[in-house]
Amino acid sequence: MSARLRSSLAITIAGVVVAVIGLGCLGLQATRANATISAQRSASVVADARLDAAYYSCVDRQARSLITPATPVAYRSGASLGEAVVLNKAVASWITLSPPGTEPDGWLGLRHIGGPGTCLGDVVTLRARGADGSWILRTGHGASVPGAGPPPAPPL
Amino acid sequence: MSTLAAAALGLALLGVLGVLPVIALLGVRWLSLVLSPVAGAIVTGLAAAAALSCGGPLLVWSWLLAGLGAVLTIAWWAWRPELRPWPRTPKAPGDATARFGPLVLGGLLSIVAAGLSLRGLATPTVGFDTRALWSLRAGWMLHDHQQMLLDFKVPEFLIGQSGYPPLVSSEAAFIWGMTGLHTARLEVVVVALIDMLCLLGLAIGILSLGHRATALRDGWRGLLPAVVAAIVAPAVVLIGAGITEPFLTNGYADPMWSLSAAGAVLFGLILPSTRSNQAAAVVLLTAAGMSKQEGMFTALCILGLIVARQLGRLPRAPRRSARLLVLLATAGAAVGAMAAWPTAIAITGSRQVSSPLSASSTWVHRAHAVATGFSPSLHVLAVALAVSIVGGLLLRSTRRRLELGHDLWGWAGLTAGLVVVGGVLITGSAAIGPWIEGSVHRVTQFPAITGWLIVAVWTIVGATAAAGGTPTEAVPGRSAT
Repeated sequence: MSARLRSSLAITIAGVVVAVIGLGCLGLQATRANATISAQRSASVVADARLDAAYYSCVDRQARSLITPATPVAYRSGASLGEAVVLNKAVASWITLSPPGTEPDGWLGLRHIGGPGTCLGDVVTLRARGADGSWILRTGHGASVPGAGPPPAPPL
Repeated sequence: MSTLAAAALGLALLGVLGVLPVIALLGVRWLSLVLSPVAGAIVTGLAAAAALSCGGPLLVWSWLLAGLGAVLTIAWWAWRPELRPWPRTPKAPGDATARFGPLVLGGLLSIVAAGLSLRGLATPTVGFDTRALWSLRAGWMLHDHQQMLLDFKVPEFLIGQSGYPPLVSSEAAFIWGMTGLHTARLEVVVVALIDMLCLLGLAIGILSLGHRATALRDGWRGLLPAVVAAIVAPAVVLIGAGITEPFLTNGYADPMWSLSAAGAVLFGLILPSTRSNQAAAVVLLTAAGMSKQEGMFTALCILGLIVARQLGRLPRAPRRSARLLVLLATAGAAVGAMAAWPTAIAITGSRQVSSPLSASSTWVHRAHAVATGFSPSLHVLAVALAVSIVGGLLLRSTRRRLELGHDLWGWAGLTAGLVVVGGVLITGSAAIGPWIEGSVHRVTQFPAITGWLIVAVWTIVGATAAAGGTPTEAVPGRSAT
């Protein structure tokens, strides 16, 4: 057997080995990947996603019962980080922020009061001036999600 | 309008925004169809930067910039008729209908794999950051200029991350504006579809390599690499989806930058250095750089590597300086596109993430935590390294005949991405344990996918060698670098 033929044979064998190992590893990983994708359809993931969607839809609808997208508002002073995050996630994409230095038409907030008519216990609030000029606190309505506590934490 | 209809319409409109420049750069090929919406998303990102810094609606800016791109493309074709896409180039010697069979089969299987990979969309998941950042900013981008400035500047919203690159939000804002449907769910579906187009782009790259290899040998044995590529391509789609889930279908930006950066490595550093492949790499790395901070730094590294690879391939004088000029202009355009949004954020005084450094005395401990945290997600690197060593020792000549880039280029691209995310975690000041725990599945997507691409490419090189050690003819083109 000539040196050239031996070299050619070695390359062919190496090619077969690399191709078979590569196909095997890719096939195995594709199977695992398919299982990961299937996990997104598991009952618990679907239930969590639905509850999460229902909660933020509820907060959004309650806020819309209090203000329109054109109403200049601000977050209530002293809002906690969690409160601000929920409001950011639910309504901040469409509300109109009052420019700094001007008085907003209302102060938007979120309170945890529990019970019926709330979004997992939370209710959107708006502190605004009434007809007589005094400050009144109104609560959102038009949507509710029964239950208590925040929605399940989605993967970060 | 239903979410699905709005997403389909939005994707088509993004495709319209990007199609002409993509065809001018890549030519008429399936990859152009896949990358047109990605290029359209880049246009919306530029439009968002213009809307924030200069005023004017994002939708108007999007169509204006797309129109400008179309006019420049048509002018380019008028000036250089030989670069128009429609004259047919002569087929490579040995071209035959049989060679296209595996290509078509692989394409169909990849589309089926893409459909299977998107079944997670049936679950109505909207990720935390999707609500808190990506779709939130999409709403802001549709506000009038004064309100948009306020949204991005006031401290009340408490999120410096709103200064992050714009692409995921701007493409959603564009589609919201065009369809009238403003929901986070629409953003999730559109982002997942664009991610999937990037994955299909990877599949097309793999299939084109298998097809190219069939020219090395006549007869049925010559088809072996293409048949292997027809199996590998859909596997890569599934693997990419598996690595990026659940973030693929919950609206996050991480799959977007990871998949496009991996595509840039494949087309720019691994596959043969054709004009079309290089252009595809530039489109993809620009998309990566406009999707997330770590995507931007990784894309800049990949761009540097692509430029370095091309510098080694410059022709002799007198064409040398013209080619060098085109290379630098292309790199400059990509950097300019990536820099547009950060510039807009800086000149408008918008919120940004402040990132103080940790004490250098903690870096060793943090580096150890990063290595420990990353390793469960990066098993593929061991496989890729083993295959690379065996392939590099025994299949070098076959790889050279296929005119692939040296394996080290791909590894350099992968390493760049690892160094970027590792460097941020090591030098950042946040508590390293929770930081890794909360981000490891996202920040390792790029190196994991690129690792599998290295394995996939060596698998096809192996199949090419297995089909026959002695070439019957050389693949038309230039020698590999």
